[in-house]
Amino acid sequence: MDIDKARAGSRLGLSQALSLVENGLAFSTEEEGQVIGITGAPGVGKSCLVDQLAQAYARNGEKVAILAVDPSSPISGGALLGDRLRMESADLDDLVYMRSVATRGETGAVPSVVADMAAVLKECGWKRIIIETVGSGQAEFRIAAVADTIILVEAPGMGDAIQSEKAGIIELVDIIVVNKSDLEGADATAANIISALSAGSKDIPVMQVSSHTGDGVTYLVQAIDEVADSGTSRAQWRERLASQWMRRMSHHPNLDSILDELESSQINIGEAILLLEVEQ
Amino acid sequence: MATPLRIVIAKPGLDGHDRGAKVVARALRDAGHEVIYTGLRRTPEQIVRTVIDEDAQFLGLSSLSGAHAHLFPKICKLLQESDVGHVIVFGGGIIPTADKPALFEAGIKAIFGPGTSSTQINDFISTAAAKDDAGCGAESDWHWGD
Amino acid sequence: MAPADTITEQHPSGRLEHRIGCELIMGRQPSSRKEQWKTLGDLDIPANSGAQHDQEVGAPGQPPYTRGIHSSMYRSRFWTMRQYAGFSSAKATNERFKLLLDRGQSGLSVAFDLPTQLGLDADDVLCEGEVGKVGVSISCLENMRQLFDGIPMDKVSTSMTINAPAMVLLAMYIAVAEEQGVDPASLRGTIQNDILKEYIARGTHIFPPDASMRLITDIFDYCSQSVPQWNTISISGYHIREAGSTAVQEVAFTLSNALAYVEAAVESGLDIDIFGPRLSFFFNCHNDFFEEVAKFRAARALWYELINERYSPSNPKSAMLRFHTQVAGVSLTAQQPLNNIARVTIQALAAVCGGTQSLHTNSYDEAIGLPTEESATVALRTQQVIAEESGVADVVDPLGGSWYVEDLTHRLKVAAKEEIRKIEEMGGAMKGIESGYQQRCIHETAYQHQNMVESGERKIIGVNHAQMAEDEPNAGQSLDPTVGIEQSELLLKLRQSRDELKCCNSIEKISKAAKGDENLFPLVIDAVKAGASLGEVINAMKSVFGTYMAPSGF
Repeated sequence: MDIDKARAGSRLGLSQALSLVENGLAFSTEEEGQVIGITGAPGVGKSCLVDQLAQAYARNGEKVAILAVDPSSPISGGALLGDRLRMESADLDDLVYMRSVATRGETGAVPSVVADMAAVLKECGWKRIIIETVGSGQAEFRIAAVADTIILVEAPGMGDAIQSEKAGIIELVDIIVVNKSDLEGADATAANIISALSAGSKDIPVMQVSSHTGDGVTYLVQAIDEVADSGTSRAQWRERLASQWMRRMSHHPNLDSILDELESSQINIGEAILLLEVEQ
Repeated sequence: MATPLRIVIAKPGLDGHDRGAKVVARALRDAGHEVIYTGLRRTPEQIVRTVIDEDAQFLGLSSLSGAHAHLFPKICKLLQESDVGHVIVFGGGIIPTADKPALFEAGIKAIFGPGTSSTQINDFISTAAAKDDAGCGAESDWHWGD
Repeated sequence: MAPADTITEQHPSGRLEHRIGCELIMGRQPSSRKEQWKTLGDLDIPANSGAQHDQEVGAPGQPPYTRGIHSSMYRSRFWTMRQYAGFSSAKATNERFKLLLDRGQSGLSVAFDLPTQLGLDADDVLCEGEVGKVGVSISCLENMRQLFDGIPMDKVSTSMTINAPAMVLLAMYIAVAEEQGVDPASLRGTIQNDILKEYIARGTHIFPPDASMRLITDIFDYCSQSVPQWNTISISGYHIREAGSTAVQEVAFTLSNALAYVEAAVESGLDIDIFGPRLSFFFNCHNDFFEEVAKFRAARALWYELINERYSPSNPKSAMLRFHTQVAGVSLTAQQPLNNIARVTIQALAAVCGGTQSLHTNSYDEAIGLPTEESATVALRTQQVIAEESGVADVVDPLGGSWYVEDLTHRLKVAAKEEIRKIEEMGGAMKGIESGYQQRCIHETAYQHQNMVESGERKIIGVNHAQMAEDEPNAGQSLDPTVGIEQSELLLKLRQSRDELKCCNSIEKISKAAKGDENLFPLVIDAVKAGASLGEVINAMKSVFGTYMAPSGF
């Protein structure tokens, strides 16, 4: 892959390199960087929060890249990528790079290619990389396959995700943000989360932020740096493994023909798995 | 599955009417493309930045305020200056017949008015995608509906 | 009596939507246009439908006003034929206004260009290519002076289609009136001032919802004291329908927005019987003739019901839904454009049968470009044919009692009420908008419509049915491109010649007060008098309120 243009700082070169990786080319790098995953249910204001974070980094003179994931239609394979609607900073600041990513053939909130796309960004000098996930339940855990730091976003009046999504996600989350702190009920939501967390062993900071006014964003930026070195947990390794496993399947050259054979009952699932392994 | 085309649908200028832009965006999604919608009131510079960051092959511009005559050519010029003259640009909205030659001259490859079906737009997309001289910076004077 | 006005100016906007304020005539005593009411074939036309009939479906002029807000409707006076028009510069618009006034017209309708509607000065870099395009460019008090130069502001009523920066434009209007020696208390007119539909469908909003509502109630409050004859809001379903909604959604979203305004006003301590009668509405009229007639009837009855249930006003006008109508721009086709005359006629007839107070008819070539003198004339003549020749204006609520119309009216009312209830469960119109609910509903309907047209299930003549090979019609006129330059020069001069310290102080007072809850209106009037431009005042507010982009509904 000709990545020299991108390395030299060309945005277009970077975009084209990202397309190659998105279309299946594997890429890894030794370059360091921090991948920050932002997850949470639809409507909690993830995009606006990402926009505020990006602005905060840019104000500090830091380059920041955003990968915003939206689902592909399983029927047409197309996707509507509307995250730029809420990310004004992306269009304006040279220090901010923003790319919309469709999930394409993969289920899960974060397609496996995102890890390699993040690697391209690191290679080209983008050391802060924010990934915004599709906001949808259990699949959100997959962010752990890519992100070093995971921020779970909640909002007042949106229901209690900690209760409903079980303790699993707590193993993975580094910071919980109660967004829309300018709204009524934000204090109560934060208090509920803190009391739900007190039963667990992990110490997770709960922060109130308003992505509308920008209040609290500076503290969030500090907190992100403070939790940065927490290492990779067993649960994270599990998600990474699952993600790569998924990728092996969805990028397998014979996937379509294997599915055809399954559909016409020529083979069964066990044989299909063998075929997937053999062809690697 | 073939790699989807990446298409930016943008609303340049101050016009707030996005019914057409949103319906077209959704129809293109349903035709299997990845559509990036910018939202309202984007400047030419922001739109070009979006096209570059998203590595889009197509750019659709919608304007109903009469500012197309100024904004569409400006965007084409900026695309060419930013080394993305390969991007294929099409427009929609209320575009008087008299304004069309200048827009084609500037690099716009198709202009769709009210009553356009998504089939027509999709036909244009697949025809233009197969050509290697349909970019807004191409020498060729080909445009849709010739 | 002749039709209220005979405006035939060209429409310099390429847009399908025309902003019209609706200046509505209040409190006129029923007089009679004719001495005798006869059909073309000389049969008598009775004044009313008879007592027994009225018992079943209600009487015109009586609550819940299903059959109209006046007992004699167009027998006393036709609806106002109010054709929208816009011009590039304040001077050009002023000349046209004077011409119209010379012709005996008493009401003016100002359309502003998009920079003005978004609170941007004409020399702002964001305005390239937009200055003077869809209306007149007003950036400073001097522009407003030019606009009303030589026009007696105590004699005319002025409708201004302005929303997010309505306070600033009205402040300029008041300031110029004072310069003319006119008492603001005698000023009459309308500002659209309906920000919720901007978030939902039209897209010229600036501030976040809370700040916008505060500006609106500040206007209600200030005007109720100092400009009491001013219609302070025109709550619009027009743009909601253009964006793709159904008739039910149009009524439901519009009335639910209206309830939000009423609630905000009442909460801020205003009296429903003071501001209620100053509320006016603005609806669309589409192709489905009977559904549209039923829509207007249902909207009137539902508004009466909602206001009475919640606020029990003592002034009957507080619950009376008065409205302006514009026919559906979105129904016009670029193919076989002359067919649009037929569409406009059907739509206009429905608006009249539905009891509209004023009406704008579109020109047949608006899907192609700017209307010509000829097409603009045909649009107005269409209304005149309906008024003078069709006979529908000679009878009150001619469709009242039709099983189909009454049934549709009932079902539209029930469905709209249910939709309003749904929005209230979400926490009201504003909460719905913030979550993108109304926008999503409208986009869904718009997309379904498109699919039905493409599948041929919904036939549109000339588009997917009865097509013909035709030459591309040649339409469109160019506007004066120098407006932007002239405006920039004027603003430069203004900024050099004004008392800078005084101006800065007045702007600072606005941003300071914006942080608290003082009424901003008097401060805005002071600022525009001190030479602050539209953009400078709006920027002072932006620095406190921030800006906001409503969810698109994707």
